[in-house]
Amino acid sequence: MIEVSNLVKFYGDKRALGGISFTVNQGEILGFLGPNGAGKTTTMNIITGYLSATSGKVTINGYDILEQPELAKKNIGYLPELPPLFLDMTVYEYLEYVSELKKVSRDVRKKQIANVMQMVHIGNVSGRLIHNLSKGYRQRVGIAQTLIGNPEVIILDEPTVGLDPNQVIEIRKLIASLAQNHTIIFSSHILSEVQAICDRVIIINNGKIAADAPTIELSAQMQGSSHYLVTVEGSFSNVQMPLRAVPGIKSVTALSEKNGILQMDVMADGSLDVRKSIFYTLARMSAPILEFKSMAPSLEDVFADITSAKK
Amino acid sequence: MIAVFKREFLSYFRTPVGWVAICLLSVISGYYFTGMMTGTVAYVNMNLEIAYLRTFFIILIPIITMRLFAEEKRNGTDVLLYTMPFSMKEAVIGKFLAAMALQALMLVSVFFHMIITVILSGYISSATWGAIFGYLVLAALFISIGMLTSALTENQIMSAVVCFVVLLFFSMLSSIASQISDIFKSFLKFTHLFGLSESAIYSAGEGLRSVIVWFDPYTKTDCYTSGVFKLVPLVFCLSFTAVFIYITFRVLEKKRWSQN
Amino acid sequence: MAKKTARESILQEKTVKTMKPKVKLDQRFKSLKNISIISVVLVIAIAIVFNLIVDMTLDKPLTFDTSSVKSNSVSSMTVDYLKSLDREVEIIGLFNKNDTNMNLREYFIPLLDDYEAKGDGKIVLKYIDPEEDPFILDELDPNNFYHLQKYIYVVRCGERLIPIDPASCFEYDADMYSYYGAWVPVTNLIEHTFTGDIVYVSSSRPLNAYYLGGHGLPAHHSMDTILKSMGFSTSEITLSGSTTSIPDDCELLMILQPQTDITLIEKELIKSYLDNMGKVLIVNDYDQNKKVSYPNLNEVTRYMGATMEQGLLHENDVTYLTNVDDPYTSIAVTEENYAQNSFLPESFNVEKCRYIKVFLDKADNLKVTDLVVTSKSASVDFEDSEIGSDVTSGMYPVAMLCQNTALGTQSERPSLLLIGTKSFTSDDYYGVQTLDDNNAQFIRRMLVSICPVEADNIIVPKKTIPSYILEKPLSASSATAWATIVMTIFPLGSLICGIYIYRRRRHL
Repeated sequence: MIEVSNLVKFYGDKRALGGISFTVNQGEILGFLGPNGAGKTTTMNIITGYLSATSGKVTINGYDILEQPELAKKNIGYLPELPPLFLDMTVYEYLEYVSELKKVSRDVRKKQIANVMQMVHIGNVSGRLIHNLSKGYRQRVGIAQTLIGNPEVIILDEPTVGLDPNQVIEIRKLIASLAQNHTIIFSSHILSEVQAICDRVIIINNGKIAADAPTIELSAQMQGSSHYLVTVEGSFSNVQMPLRAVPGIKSVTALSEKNGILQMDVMADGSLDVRKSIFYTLARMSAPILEFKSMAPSLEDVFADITSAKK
Repeated sequence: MIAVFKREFLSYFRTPVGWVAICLLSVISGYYFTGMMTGTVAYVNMNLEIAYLRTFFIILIPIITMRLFAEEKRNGTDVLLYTMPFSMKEAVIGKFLAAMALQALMLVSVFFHMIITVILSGYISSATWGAIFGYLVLAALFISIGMLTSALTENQIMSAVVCFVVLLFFSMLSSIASQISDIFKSFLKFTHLFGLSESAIYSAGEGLRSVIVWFDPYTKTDCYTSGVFKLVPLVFCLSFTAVFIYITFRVLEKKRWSQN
Repeated sequence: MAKKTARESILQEKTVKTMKPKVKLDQRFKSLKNISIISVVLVIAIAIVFNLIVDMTLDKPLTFDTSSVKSNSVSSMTVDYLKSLDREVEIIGLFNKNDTNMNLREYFIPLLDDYEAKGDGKIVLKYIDPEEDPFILDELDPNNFYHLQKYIYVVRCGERLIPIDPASCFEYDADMYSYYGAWVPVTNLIEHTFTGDIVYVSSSRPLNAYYLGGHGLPAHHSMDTILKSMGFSTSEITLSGSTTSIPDDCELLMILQPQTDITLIEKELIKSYLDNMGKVLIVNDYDQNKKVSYPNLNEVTRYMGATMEQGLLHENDVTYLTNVDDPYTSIAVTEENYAQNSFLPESFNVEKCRYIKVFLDKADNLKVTDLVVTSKSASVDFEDSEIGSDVTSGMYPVAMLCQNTALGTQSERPSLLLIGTKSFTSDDYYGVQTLDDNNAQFIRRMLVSICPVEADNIIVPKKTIPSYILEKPLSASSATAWATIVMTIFPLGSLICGIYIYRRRRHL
């Protein structure tokens, strides 16, 4: 569906992208993950034809974005980070304008706009000025805009940024529902979001792809080690060595030690359950456990691991 | 193209810009018309009014054109134009036509004055229609210039100022030409370059001046106001309008290959 | 290990930042860039070249006069003449073509452009601002006869030159002037004037003017200068002896302040010269020659319908006097009816004017026109009061044109210009005054009108200027009403519309 090969982008002397290649298959939901300034937006802008690359090639549905821009763009709906909304228009006027831009034929225009509005649940604000809408609604109008013309690929750049938690959940639901009949690329720097929605994750850091794998696979990779947050009464120097001696425990790190209360992070091999051993060891050392928390492995760890390892 | 035209034209009237522009022009033209009508002799010549209105292009055109692209860039809505499956040419032409339509609509007050003149049994000469034609032709050229400055800048005020300066330059072109030719003449005189005679220096200066004045759109379209239809000014204005529209298109297209 | 990698990464980052793009720029972007830069340059170049070509080839053929009275294009009469023109005529506007301070320029610029366009290269139109090129005045008029100045047109061909004051190219609404003091043009004489003057300056026919000698001809350098500037060549002839005759090429015969009467032979020669479309200028005054009587000369003038008597005009209207104590030195004015059809200045200086009397029993074919007259309350002082018994106070002619309408065509007839004072011709007068003062202009204009330079003179009809003045003058109250509508209701209406829509939409 989308083929990106060896995308390089320089802003003057500064490299923003250093050779990014990936493909997106039909029906896939691809998460684009990376810290701010990693190159997510640049990549998306290049894919949608808003920016030029320094070198590299982007084809959408077989059409090169540079050589056959109009055909290529017909297959994309793009929502940039700052939604391209005209504040002086009503929602309906705006969507009508977009469908005219996308050359949706006159006879299906009305029906399509109605469909889209229903899909993103903005039917109730169709007559309102975009200026007067809340951020969540504006974002939905922005998404609605991408759906006009029924493109196969929808590209969303940080669609949940700046929204309150309820709105974030709604937008996520919306994206998930769109996935049924669209190919979606969406970027985020929030990992749980990507984890929740995406089939596949590409992690970009410093203009390069740090990881590209199905979400499940990445999570499974993290099964290799597990973390426990342990709070005890005692001193780190006392409990450190005995804990290290427990088979399966890889490392022990003190997070804080105050008034005789010690908080530490215990990392263990994922293949063994070391919880009992920890309990008994600490009991032996007369360090009563005040709190014991098993930290589930998450994309955060993958992200931290991979990005720090790349450094 | 029609989509962009429709949006742009309607947005003039959704925001106060279009109304303010109409109001401004009707105040200016009304002032002149009232002056003619209530003078000791009620000498009402609409040609003069239209010729007078041309001097306000330097203010009105920037107001109309400053927002065309600068605002889209600032609001991020230009993404729509770049990522939609249509050519940037259509956007440029659509916006140009929208500004042109507003400019034509602004002449409503002039038509109104013509009706009053007829009611008061005054005389509307055929040259008045020529004057309106010349006004619109000149407006087309200036709008295309204003649109280009709007495409080049990201800030509306900046765009308006640049456009104002350019139009001011054009309105002063004939006097600038005299200045330049004077400087050129005295330069030749004092340096004794080429050892030219007095009259040769004069004709060299005049030649330079006529070359510069050749670009003066005001002088070129003057004939329409005095009841002469000429093809040349029309070709001049429209061809350079097309040139500026084309440059605007290329400036916007730059994003497709620019490395910055 | 970790430290090392951190340092490495810093190093790496540094190299990334300073490194020139290692990746070669995609050729497609380069070519896009080239295409757009080249195409922009090309489009500009094409536009300029295309315009230049259109300018050079289609400017003249594709110019149409859209004015209702065709005041921007020359009539077929002028076009025909311009076609027959065999020499180059220059029209020089003494101002910058774009100078908007030039009054009524909208009537001149396009029409004169049309002269140039229809002139087939023989009409050369130039605009030169004397403030920018001070040499132009010297070049056109080295002796400063015409006192040329800014905002005047000059028509020149070879040595011949005529200045044209733009203001004189119109007739103005007399009522508007007398009621409001406003000069509102009602008739457009531009083509009429310019074509006439082009015909005059371009004429190839020699113009010979002769002074009649033998009767105490005074010095006449000023008159010579005026005539020469108009293209005449001058010489003196003496008509004594039976073999002498007036030359065939004589365009104008001048008898200036004769101190003795002409002879009988001269009388007959002049009469037959007049019958043969001759033009005669007779200037006399009433000063040194009080006692001289002119029976033969008067017979010539009577033959044309008027005589010069032995009387001195006495101006009684103080406002016409240049010196309150001297009733014989005064201002005379252009006769009212004549003024409407001519370009004559309004007033002239007159000194010691001889009484010109219209011959009452003149034949019907003699047309006598008063040109310059006194006030309505002048009288005549006579040496011999008997003659003056029938003369009362009234308006008296100072200069007069007598023509025989039975002979010749409308444009060329036997003409006698009679002037009762030397103030129009003498060196005495022009020693004090300049050669472009009103009196000199009178002589020029009259000579141009009585000595047509072409056999079939071209007189382009005047064009009326449509009146832009409202036919129904506005009353103060209705003017206020209209002004209110125009100035407040309309702008406010659009503003309120805008605010209404804006406010309504804002709360959507």
